[in-house]
Amino acid sequence: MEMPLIETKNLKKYFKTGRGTLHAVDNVNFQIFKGQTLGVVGESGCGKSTLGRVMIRLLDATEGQVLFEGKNIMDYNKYQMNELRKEMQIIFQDPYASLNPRMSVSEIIAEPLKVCKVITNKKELEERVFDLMKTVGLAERLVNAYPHELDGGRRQRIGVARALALNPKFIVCDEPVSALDVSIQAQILNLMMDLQEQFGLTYMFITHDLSVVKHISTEIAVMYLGQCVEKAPADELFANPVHPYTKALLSAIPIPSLKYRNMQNILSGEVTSPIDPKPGCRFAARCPNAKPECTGCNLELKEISPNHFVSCVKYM
Amino acid sequence: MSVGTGTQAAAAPMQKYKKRSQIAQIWGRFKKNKMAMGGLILFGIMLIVAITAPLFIDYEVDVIQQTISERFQSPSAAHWFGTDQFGRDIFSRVFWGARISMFVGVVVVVISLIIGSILGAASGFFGGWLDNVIMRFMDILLAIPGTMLAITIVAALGGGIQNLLLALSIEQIPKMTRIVRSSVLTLKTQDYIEAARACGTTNARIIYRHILPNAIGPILVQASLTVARTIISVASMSFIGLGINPPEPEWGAMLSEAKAQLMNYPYLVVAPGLAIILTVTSLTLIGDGLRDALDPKMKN
Repeated sequence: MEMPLIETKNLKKYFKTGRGTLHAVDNVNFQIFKGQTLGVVGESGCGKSTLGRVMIRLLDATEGQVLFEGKNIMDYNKYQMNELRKEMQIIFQDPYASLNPRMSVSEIIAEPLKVCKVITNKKELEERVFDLMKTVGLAERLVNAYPHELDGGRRQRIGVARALALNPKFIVCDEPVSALDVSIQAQILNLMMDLQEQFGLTYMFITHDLSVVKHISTEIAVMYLGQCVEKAPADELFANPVHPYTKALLSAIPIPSLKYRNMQNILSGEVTSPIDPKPGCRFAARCPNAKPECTGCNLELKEISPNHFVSCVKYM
Repeated sequence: MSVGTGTQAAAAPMQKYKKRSQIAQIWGRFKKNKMAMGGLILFGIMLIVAITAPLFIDYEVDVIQQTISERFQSPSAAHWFGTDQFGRDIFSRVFWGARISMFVGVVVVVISLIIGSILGAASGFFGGWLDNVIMRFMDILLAIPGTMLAITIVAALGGGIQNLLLALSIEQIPKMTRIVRSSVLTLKTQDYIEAARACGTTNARIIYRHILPNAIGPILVQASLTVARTIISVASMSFIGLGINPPEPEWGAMLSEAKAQLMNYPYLVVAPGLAIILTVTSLTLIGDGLRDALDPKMKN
């Protein structure tokens, strides 16, 4: 079998807080193959962003492994890590906060190249910056502009150009379009898909917007309170959702029709606290089909049909 | 827009597009603020006077030589601001006094800026026990009223300009440290810092390339206000006799000497008093103007 580009094994990230241990990412396992996109969806605070940061080791994992091309990067030392950073980059959610307001467009895009000493020749560096700007569709005349002078879409293009500067293989996209308005979202998404085709990039696409994720993903993982509750190829997940949380999420996609208004499956109740969660299904408190056996049992992802995994008592 | 829309030549020369430095933009915004420009011009004049005073004022003859026959003369063509109880020309003394006030103000700011920035940046950036140790120590210093602290230090070590510099710097360091620390704390959680980490940027480069340029705004504003505050502190210390020793013409000391004659010769306090007010006001105006001009999000 082909080796996945990046793979997590029992990945855990806990934060110590005053009230206990916060389980931000709890036992997450998945694989992403070269050229594919894994969409990660879930509501705010379910650990999607933390997962993305642990994957490229901006945060260290509490337990578990991240294998990049088969090697566990959690064991890498500082120097190995610096080499590896060229292979994995990140695009941020807020294009206003992710660009240094004191640096011009060219300085921002050139920074990774300077830091990693990939290009030291000034003229080549300049050429590379113009090249990247062209790749992401930024007009050359903006080369000396400052981020605050540009609109959200252009800013996000700068973010994409910076991530591409080092020719990475894997990019974590942390809600790259949720801060943009809808017409710009489509532009950026198309740009990212074009780039994926052009450079054979592999994405982990974090979002809470299901219509976006359907558009771009090959596979989708649904997260709830730090755990992956369902994972399936994109079409399969939309056609045949199994986990009650996935069903609720899908039914929350607005349908532009008057007839289907009342078909929404609205969840009641609060999200359980991610601090020291009890064993068993973490969704049980809000699940419409919760049964007594949902609490206290040990849940694992189970393959119910080819490549469709779900973690629910019903299928244990 | 899709990839590869450009049909132009691969890489246009950089020179085609004018590079606009942020300093030029900041200056452009500062220039538009009339109050701030007024402050800058006033302070500029004061600074030039302070630097060039020795060219047209003879310290031995004009500033400290006592001429009893000429005491308590009202302002006239010969003595623009009059003469004091020892017959010294107040005009020369006030102008020479600018040298002392400016010198102390600038030196104290430089010392507190350097030490405060290092302590504040380390404390904010690295956090943890280092932050705790540094900031608790600063809290101790801040808990003592500034003037009290300065008086205590000067009283313990004796008067003179060196001890005064030391005392006033110790008073200002905790304030500077707090300002730098709080800016660093807000900046270090920004996404662009994380983006820098994602390509393996070292801590040192993150601090000087990403954090300091963004923290410079509040730091500069604080610095200009600190000069103003220090000039007042020097004057107050000298006023109560713990600052600059006579016969050096310090503004506060001049006020102190004049207060005994205030009922008979009120013009004695006008010149040194005005000098203090104008310098401090000009610095405050500059500080306010800088605060607005340094925000990169401000429209031109």
